[in-house]
This record gives sequence, structure tokens and C-alpha cells, in this order.
Amino acid sequence: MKMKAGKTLKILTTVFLAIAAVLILFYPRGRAHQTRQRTISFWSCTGQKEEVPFIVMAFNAAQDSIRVLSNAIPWQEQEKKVLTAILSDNPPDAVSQFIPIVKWASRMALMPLDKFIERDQFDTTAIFPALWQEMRWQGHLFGIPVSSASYAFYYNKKLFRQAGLDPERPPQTWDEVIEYNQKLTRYDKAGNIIQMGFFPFYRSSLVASQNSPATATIIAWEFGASFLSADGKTVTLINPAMVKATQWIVDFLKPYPINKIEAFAAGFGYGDQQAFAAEKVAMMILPNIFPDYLRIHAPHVEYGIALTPTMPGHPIASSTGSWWIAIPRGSKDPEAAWEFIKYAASKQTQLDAYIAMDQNLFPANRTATNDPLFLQDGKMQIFVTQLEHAHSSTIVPMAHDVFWREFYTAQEQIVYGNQSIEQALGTAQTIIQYELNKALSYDEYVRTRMNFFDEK
Amino acid sequence: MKRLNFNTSRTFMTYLLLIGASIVLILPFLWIISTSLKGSASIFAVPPQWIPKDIHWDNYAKVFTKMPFFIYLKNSVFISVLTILGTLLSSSLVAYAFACLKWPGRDWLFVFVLATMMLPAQVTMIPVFVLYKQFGWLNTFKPLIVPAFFGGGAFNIFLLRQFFLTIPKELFEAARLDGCSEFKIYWKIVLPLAKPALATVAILTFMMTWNDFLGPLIYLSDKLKGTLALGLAMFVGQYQTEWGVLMAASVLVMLPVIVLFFLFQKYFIRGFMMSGIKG
Amino acid sequence: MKNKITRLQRNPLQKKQAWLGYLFVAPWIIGFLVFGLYPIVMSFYYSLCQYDVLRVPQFIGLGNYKELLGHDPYFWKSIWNTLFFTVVRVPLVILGSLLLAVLVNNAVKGIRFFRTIFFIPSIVTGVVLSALWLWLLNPQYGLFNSILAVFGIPGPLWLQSPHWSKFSMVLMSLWSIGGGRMLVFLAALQGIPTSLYEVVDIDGGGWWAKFRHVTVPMISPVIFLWTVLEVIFSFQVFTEAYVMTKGGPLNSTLFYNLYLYYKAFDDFSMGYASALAWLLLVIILVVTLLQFIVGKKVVYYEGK
Repeated sequence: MKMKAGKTLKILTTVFLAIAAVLILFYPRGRAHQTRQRTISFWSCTGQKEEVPFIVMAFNAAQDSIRVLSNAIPWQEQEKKVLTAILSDNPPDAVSQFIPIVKWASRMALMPLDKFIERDQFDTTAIFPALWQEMRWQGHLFGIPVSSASYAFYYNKKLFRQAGLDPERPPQTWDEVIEYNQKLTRYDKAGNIIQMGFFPFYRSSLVASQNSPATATIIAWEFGASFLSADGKTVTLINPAMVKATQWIVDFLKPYPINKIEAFAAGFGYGDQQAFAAEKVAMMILPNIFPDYLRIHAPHVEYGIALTPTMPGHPIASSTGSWWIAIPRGSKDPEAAWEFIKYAASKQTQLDAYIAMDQNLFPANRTATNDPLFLQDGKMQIFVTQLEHAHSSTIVPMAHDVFWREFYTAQEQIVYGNQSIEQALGTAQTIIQYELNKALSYDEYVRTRMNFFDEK
Repeated sequence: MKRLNFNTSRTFMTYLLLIGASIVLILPFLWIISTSLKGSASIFAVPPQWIPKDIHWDNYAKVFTKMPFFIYLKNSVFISVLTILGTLLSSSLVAYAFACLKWPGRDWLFVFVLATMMLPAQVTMIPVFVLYKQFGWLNTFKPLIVPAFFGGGAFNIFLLRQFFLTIPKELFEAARLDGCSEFKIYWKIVLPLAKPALATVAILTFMMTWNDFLGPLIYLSDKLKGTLALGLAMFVGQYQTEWGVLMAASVLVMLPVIVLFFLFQKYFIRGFMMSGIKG
Repeated sequence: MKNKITRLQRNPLQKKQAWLGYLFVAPWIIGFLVFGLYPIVMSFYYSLCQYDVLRVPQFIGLGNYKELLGHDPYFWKSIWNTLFFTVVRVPLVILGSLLLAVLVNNAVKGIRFFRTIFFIPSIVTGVVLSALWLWLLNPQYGLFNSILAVFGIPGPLWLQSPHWSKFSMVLMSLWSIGGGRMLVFLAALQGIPTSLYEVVDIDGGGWWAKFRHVTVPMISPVIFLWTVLEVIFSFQVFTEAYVMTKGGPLNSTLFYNLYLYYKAFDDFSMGYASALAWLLLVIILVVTLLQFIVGKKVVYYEGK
């Protein structure tokens, strides 16, 4: 018995080793044969309907020499993921994000793209000017904007009619907004606010802001305010324009007790409980992607889109940011990554992407948006105009998050009546300036130790 | 007769309380289940719909197409099982040292062990990452599993220590007088007595590992190396979050933990261990 | 007791135990030296620097500490928020889990089923948990205010109110009292000899007497364990505030750990954040040691 078992075992082992040898020798070395085709890895964030971004599929289909492998990273943790990727010396070849690019550029995490832009004569005027602002750091460009968000003024036609307002005549000045609001505000039997004409959002959490940018900054921009000195060293949060803009908000909210305002705002939510979708707020500044949102969550809402109201004698203003693509330092094939980026930002790709995708952001390429194909939908012209007059929401690049945290804290204090406008904005400015100074002095120190632009 | 009445009324009260507490605690969870069957339009509908008008069973089907569920499941199981094993073994050993043995510096070291729980992980996260990079452990499961075999974490050590401290000293003295080695006492006396405590550590460790999302996020780069918790994060986007599918995915991910808990209940039978000893 | 240990061991049996003690503890010590020492030392070093993770640290000595203690209103605000939250939360969750554990420590039919129901809330986490509670606590159509409305009580604004936001978070914590904590208490309750309860029965004591004179003292080591742990955990509360309120309204939910996160990952002041972290460690350590001192007098260890 034992002998038989031993023999079987021997045979089995030999067969096994033979199979293993065959596999090892003849295993298809696909990768080795692919030296003709370059592969680059590309990271984008979750949240798009398409599994693989359109630009990746289009690029891979359009040419043979470079293949883009796309990977989606969780949107909420995108920063940590990219941070650790750079630390691991194994970053993706190209990365796309929505956060201010300065966060990475100022920490030497990205490759400057100037030499590519110059060499290939990339037309920088083809991109909306406002979007370039946050791509710049110390005179160099670090990313190419690919998509953006354009904000315009949405208004609810049905609620206008109910309040006796002309549904084809949205307000054109901020004073008219106050007028319209008075007619559109409604209460229930207990005296609670159940509907308002407009709401100047003053908190920053996702639910609390409802995807609407801060009204105060928009009005301040219309007044021509600038929040940061040209040399980037002095914060000017308190400036006459900002004070006037904030005063407008205070005047707007004056007729309403703060607890009623709070209670009203507390009812806003996600999905079909979004303030405009739930028809609680009749006029709101919202992004160009909102019609898709309404289609899904509240298709019954009858709305119109118009340019943002202005202060008399001043131009419109808008807020924006962009989805950019950049090349992390440590990328193994920056040339290939650059080819991909160029393609993604080109007019034709942008047009194709916009038409093909179901829910999409706004193209960053203005030659694409000025194309008749794009402007077929009459609403789009408004968004194009708004984006031409937009300002980047990266106001203080080296202290971006501090700026907005302090900004919203100041807003809250003012709205609650805890502090005067000057007090609140003054406190905020002091803190932001302090953090900016720290960041700048640290940056100076690092430059004496690390050579930034001479590498690669 | 009197005794019977007392027991019946006591049982009745018990059931009343149990059912009452169950209703209160499970109600919010039922909303999750109900949402997992809703389409995008009615998730936050007002007034709230507890029973969806159209039941979207396909939310559950979508979970399997939107993430490599079974691969992630396999990875999660692999990591969890090994982590539980390592934690049970090493934390019980270390807890034994703190609870049942006397040695110089013991209490000071215990406070030190506790102190390691008090430093917020956010500031050690980066140096830890760099450490694992030096080891060459990036993009493997090692950072998620190996530390469990080296103490299993201050939390589990503390927990088991407190349990071991409730074991009467006489047991130890008797065993030692009989000539038992410490390891034998640990293995044959203490561990069996601490079964509920060990089962608890197992369940808690399983929960933590199963839901751990940050570790897999920063250590694993291959898409196929992800875990279920990481997969869940893929459903959340900046503009579009498919709430129905996210809820469905969460329910599916929670199921194994619920099942495990239910099965491990057998270690929690009242008083069969200690009741004879004091007498 | 302590003095006896620290003096030179003359008893060979004690010597052997000491040696074995070190052996059994070795896994943790090795683990610490390999995985724990470097990050902890580095984070302390960073607390003495300006550092943004991707570039070289700039040594500034005690600058961070000076700034956060003397110059930073958010530091004090976050300490207040965190303390308040801890003091309210810890006693409630411990009592809740304990009572629940006593309730499920009955061998009635179907008890497994009930225990599982109590346990389920504790495994809901992250985005789902936050979305659920944002919905439940919605002042206009959430479950809580709807129920209160039935009794004619106008519900508060919960998470949207600067006064109620922290209580809302405590409420969220209470939902998971049937979780691991209850399980641990249950395991402890299992170890109480039934004979002790019989003694109270004979003396004519009821449910409360049993609870007070038998249950609580016998499992006091475990109650103590959880008090210490819950304080440590409460001091580090983060996720819920980060996902749901972002520290608002009016910074009422700006907890210490949330502020730390903002400094570390949003502002890239990893040095400052490390200083915050080490200060937190000192605070928690002091509180824990105080608890141990009190605990020595109050906790009853059967094994001693």
C-alpha cells in the first residue's frame, strides 16, 4: 500500500512540475511585447455617470501609440489618495481634480507645464481666462483646465406667476431681487417661512450651501473688489466693495427674525429636497449642471435661466473653479501624459464630450463653447457669458481653506447679529493674513533648501 | 403557584422591554432598507415614504455591476480573518502579562500602552505610510494584517486585561502549586474562561476591519485589491450620489457582520462558567 | 504591592514570573518598536516644525505650541466643544449600554434575535450614517420632529442649531448603545455567579438591590474600562462632524480632532496639527490617570 502511495505521489509531483514549467516558459509575456505602445495611468474622481471618462475612451480610440488606463478614486478622499501616491514615488502619470491646483503646485508635487505649452504652442487663449488663475504658481503653469462649472441665475416661473410677477422678466438688479423677494415670501399658519424669493447662503457645509456660491463675493466682485494684493502677500477681505455687498445681505435679511430664517434653511436637504428643486426658494444661483439634476429629481419644476443680477452700473460676475489635469512629479511618461492632456482640452474633444455625456460639466475651452453646435441650446449662451465674467474661487491660493472657513464664520456672525460687519470681516482678515504670512515664510525657507524649477 | 406568577410576569415585562427597545432602535435602520429600494426621485421625498411606491430591486443588482463585489468580498474576508486571528492570539498573551503576572514596570508600561491610543491617528498617518514604503509593503495587504499579530492594539489589550482581572486569584495559585507552567494556565484555564471576552474581541475586530476604509485607501493601489468598505466609497460623488444604490451596497456589506454576530451568540450563554466556582 | 515588585526579587518563583511577564508582553513591545516608535517620534518632531508633508520641515522650536495656547481662539473653542460633548455623552452611553446588557442577559426565547437587532445600528457608518441622521433630524420632515409634532411640541433645529448641534451628536451616539460596548458588558455579566443573586433573593431584595449590590460591583472593572475608553474616544470625535456639519453652525461642532484635521490636511500645517495632537495626548493622559486614581478606590477586582 505504502509503495503505491509513494509512486502516485511521485507521478503527481512530476506532472505538476511539468505543467508549472510549461506555464512559466510559455506564459504570454503580453507586457514585454507592448513596448511599442506606451501606457499611462490616469486618476479621476468618482461621481461621473460614466465608468471610464469620455476623454479617456476617445483618446484611446483616436490613436494607437498611447494607451490611457483610467482609475477612479473616491471623491471624498481624493486628496489623501493623491498625497500618499506622491509620497510613495509611484504617482499616476496624469491626475484630474477639482481642488485648487495651487495646493499641489506650491508643494512641488506637480511638473510645470510651461515647456510643453511653449514647445507645442498650446493656445492658452482658448481657455476661459478665469480658469487660468488657479493654474499659475510663481509664474509657471501647472495644469490645463478641462471642465468647469458656470453659474447662472435660475428662477421658478410657476412661483413667479403665483406671486403676480412676469415669468419672462427675471430681476436684473439686486434691488429688484429684494423687491421680488418680498412678493415671493410666504408663511404658513404658524408664522413660519415656507417659501422665499431668494436666499443668501451663509454656511459652508454641503447641505447648508446647496451648491450655490456665496452671494457676498459675487456682489463684491461686481463692485470690482479684489481680495488679495497683486503680489499675493496682503489680504484685503475688508474692502468697501465687500462691506457694501455684505450690507446688502444684512438689509435683505432684516425683515426676518433670525430664528425663522434658521428654521427655513434647516429644511433644505439632498435630492428632491434641494431648495430650488423643492420649490422653496424661487431664485437661486446654480451651476450649469443643474438642469440635469432637475431632470432626475424634480422634472415638474418650470424654470428659466438668466444672467446674474447686477448692481446698477456694474458688470455681472460669477464664481468658478475647474477640473484640471496635471502631471505629478515622478510620472514615468510625462510626454505621453501631455499628449493626453492636449487632446482632452482641444476644441473637438470638448464638443464631443459635451454632446456624448449625459450629465456633464462645462467645457473649459471657449472655442468649443462658441461653436454653433454648442450654442444650439439657447440657454448655453448665458453660461458662456457668465464664465467670461467669472472669477476664480481660489482667492488666496496659499491660504485657500482658511480663507473660506473664516469667510463663512464671519458671514454667520454677521447674519446672527453677533458681530458688526467690520468686526467680523476684520477678525477674519487678521486670521487669514496671519496664516498667509506663515505659509509665505515657510515657502521662502523651503526655497533655500529645495530646488524647485531646475528639476526635470 | 406564587413563584410561577412571578416568573410569568417577569418574562412578560422582559419581552415588553425587549420589543419596545427593538422598535426604537431598528426604526432608523428600516429607513435604510426602504431607501435601498427606491429610485433616485423619491429618496428624500416629503412626506417620507416608508414603503416605496416603485420598488427598485435593480439597485441591488447595480451594486454588483458598479464594483467588483465578490473580489472585494474575498479581500475583505481574507484581511479580516487574519487580523482576527492575530489579534486574538497576541492581545490575549499581552493582556495575560498585564493581568495575571507580576513584573517590574508592569503598571507603568500598561499606562504607556494606553497612551498610544490617545494620539490622533491623523498625525502619525503620514510617517506610518513612509515606514511601510521603506518596508516595501505598499500595494499589499501586509500593513493591514501584520500589526495585528503584534499586540492587536491597545484597545483589545485593555479589554482582555479587565476580563482576566475578574478571574479569582485562587485558581492561579492552585494551578501554580500543582506545577502548571504559566503558558498552560493561560491556554487551559484563562482562555476558556474568557470565551465571551474573546468572542467580543473577535466581533469588534471584525467590525473594525470590515469597515476600515482609510487603510485600504492609502495602501492599496490596484483596483482589484480593494475591500468592500473602499468599494462603498466609490458610490459617493461630488454632484451625483446614487443614494439608492449606496444604501443597497451598505446593506449587503453589513450582512456578513450581522450574520457573524448572530452566530457568535453561542458564546454568550448565561453563567455556565462561573456559577460553580465560588461555592 | 508596588514596592515589593520593584525591589530586587529574591524569590525564584517571582523571578520566573517576571521573566515570563516580559516574554508575554514581547509581541507588543516588538510591534511598538517596529511600527510605532518611528511615527510617534516623527510626529513629535513635526510638532516642533512648520511642515506641509511634501517638503522639508522647518524647525521652529515651541512656536506651534506657543501659538495654539496663546493666539488661537479655535483651540479653546474646540476644547470647550469636545469637553462638553464628552461630559454629556460618556455617562449616557455607558448607562444605556449597561441597562441594555442587563436586559439581554436573559435566557428567554429568541434573545439572540433581539441582541442582533440592538447590535445592527452600531455597524452603520460613514456616509450612510450621516445621510440617515441628517434626514432623521431634519427639522421639517425628519422622524424626530414629526413625532414631537404629534404631541404638539415644536421640535428644535437639531444639527442646524448652534445650541442643539452637540446634543444631536450625543443622540446619534445613543443609537449604537447596543453595539460592542453592550456586548462587553454582557460578557461581563455572564461571569457573575448566580449564587450571589440568590443571596439577595433570600434577603428579600428586588431587581434594584441586585443591580446595586451585585451587578455593578462585580462588573466594575469593565464599567471602568469603558469609562476610560469612552473618554478617549469622545475626545477624538471627528467623522460625524466632518461629514454632516463641517464644524458649524457657528463653530458649535468644531471638535478638537476636526480642527486638527483642517490644519493637517486642508491647510497643510502638519506641524501645527502635530502640536495639537500631542497636546491632546497630554490632556487625555492626565484625565485618564485621574480616572485610574479614582478607580483604584471604587473598582472591585475579584482577582485581587
